[in-house]
Amino acid sequence: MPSQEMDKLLAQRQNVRQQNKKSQTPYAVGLLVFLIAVGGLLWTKDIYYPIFWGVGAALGYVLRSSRFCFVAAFRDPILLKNTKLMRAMILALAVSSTGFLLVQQHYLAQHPGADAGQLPGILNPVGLHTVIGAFLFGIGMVLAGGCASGVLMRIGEGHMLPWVTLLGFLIGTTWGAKDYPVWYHWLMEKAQTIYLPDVFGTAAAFVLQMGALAVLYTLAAWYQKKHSKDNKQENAHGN
Amino acid sequence: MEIKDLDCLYEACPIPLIRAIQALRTMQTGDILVVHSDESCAAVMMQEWAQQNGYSIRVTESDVGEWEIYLQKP
Repeated sequence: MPSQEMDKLLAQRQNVRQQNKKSQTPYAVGLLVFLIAVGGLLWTKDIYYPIFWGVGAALGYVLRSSRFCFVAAFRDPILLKNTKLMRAMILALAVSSTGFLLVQQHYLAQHPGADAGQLPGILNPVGLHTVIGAFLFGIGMVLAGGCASGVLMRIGEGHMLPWVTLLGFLIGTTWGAKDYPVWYHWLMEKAQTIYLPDVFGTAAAFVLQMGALAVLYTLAAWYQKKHSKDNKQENAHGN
Repeated sequence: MEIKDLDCLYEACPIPLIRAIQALRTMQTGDILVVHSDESCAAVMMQEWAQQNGYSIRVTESDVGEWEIYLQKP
């Protein structure tokens, strides 16, 4: 497709606009100084705090640069027939399942006979409430245009709208905590915490998990390919 | 060849892309749509979409935190 016309239009508009962009460098330097200053302040309290602080800031940066968006991972396959972020999420699940299995095995070796609910990784009882909650959260996150991490990332980016979402988030979680005993009584009391390695054995559970993720990944890749007009271009795409 | 501007400033993801798809539907082959957006995800999303659907695309940051996305209908 010839797009010299677009290049011409772009150049024309660029000329009219002049170079009146304000430099963002002072803000970046200011933010870096702030990050280091707070990190130093935290160091005086506990040696581990600056590490958490740094990892948090780094995660925000990675989230922003990679555009890793949990909302888009579930929304784009339906809206745009694009499963790139969903596949990224499946890969992330494979990595974290493996990592958590190692951590949990290590924990079990040190605390023999520990209950599934005590394991690192916060295992929660599964049941009807999981389905209802996921459905409600799905509606909310698509309307709000971001989950918790996405909202925080966009606030950091300078958007004003996610502040409204954050306010709603705070009200919602507070309200949820207030009503938690009711929900617990109606939906969660009889639900069970299921730890797959307890059910199938560690090795079988791991193989099962990875197999299920591999099947999902293949399905997602196939789905996007089926709905692509130009498959060759997709493969040549670098960024 | 017609050039159409679409103001999507202050619209959250994925509204800019949905509005762009709607606008492109009414346009002719070779026409250019210029989407104005301050949502940084919109440009990335539209690049993906353009690639998947065979549209040519150019993206430029026209001002600090504002993007212009050029789409030409194939």
